[in-house]
Amino acid sequence: MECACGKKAVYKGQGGALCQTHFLDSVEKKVERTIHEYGLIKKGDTVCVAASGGKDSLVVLFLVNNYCSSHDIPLFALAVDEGIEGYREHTLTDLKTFCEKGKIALHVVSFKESYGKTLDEIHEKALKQFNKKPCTVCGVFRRTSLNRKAKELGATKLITGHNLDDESQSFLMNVLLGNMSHNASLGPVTGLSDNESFVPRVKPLYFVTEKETRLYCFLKGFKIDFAECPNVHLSFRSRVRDWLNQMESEFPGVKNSVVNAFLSILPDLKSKYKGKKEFKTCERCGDPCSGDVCNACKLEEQLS
Amino acid sequence: MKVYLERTGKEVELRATDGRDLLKQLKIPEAEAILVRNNEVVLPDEALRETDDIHILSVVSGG
Repeated sequence: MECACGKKAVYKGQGGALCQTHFLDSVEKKVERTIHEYGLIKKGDTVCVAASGGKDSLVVLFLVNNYCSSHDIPLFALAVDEGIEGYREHTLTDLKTFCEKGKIALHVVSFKESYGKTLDEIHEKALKQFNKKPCTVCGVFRRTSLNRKAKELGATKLITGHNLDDESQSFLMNVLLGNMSHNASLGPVTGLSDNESFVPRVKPLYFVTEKETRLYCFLKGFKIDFAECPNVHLSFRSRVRDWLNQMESEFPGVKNSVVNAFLSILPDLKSKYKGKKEFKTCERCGDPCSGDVCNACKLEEQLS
Repeated sequence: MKVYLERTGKEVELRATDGRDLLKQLKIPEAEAILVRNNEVVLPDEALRETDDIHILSVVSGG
């Protein structure tokens, strides 16, 4: 199969077959277009890229770093070490090497420092005593750690490596669980609140598939060790992901259709749910929350 | 042909006419795999040879 330019194709997507040069170019253009179209990064921003060392975060870090360098916008990377033995140490090693090569400042914040325990140490108690899956605890602690540290370091934008696969999964998960109000918080710019305590989270890889980020890494020669979180099989997300990938293989383009369908109703969801939630201040940490105590502080207390 | 699977770290010996046939035998959805031969990407409809060494990169990762 050949690209329109006549060279051997390395990728076949909805837009046709692409050679290496045109594939790399298509991903880069897609990311730049998303940044511009949704105003994800602007002059005057200080950009923090949430990075793990996995394929998506390396691609977003590489592309956003190039963008920021050419637009004279300061950038740094921020990683969370949850303390998952046999998983996170590998991706963090890759990330440190990547940042050293690219001369990107890297900060690391760990669950152990922030909450006194690693996820591995929390895991059993969370599951047995509180029926909380490790992914639930990890999600709350990660979001809180990233926001607090990014804010402390002066970031005005928090970039995440969420891609088209993540977004299609999140949308369907919320539909399947009947959480339509949660879908109002999705989109290229995350969240429903303009509360200044939250650093706005944005997703430049919004229209890039997971397959495209993996191929981009391979063609660019980015070193990534294959790493899958050992807790992934416990998550609802992994079930939805497997089903969507099966559907995508049989009916190419379905993930794209799911995200486009979602985007067509997003303005209605935003207008329906925006401003409906009142924010209080967590009486323990001072972060904005809906109750008297935020989820992270509640979990920290339960699991201490 | 020898097939190395990145996701499991395993190596298997198989016969397949093309990439699509190979993935079907391994029950791996096309959306979850990239096939590589001699450090070059092979698309699912490309023919494979008995003597090929194929690496199957996993698209799925993370948590």
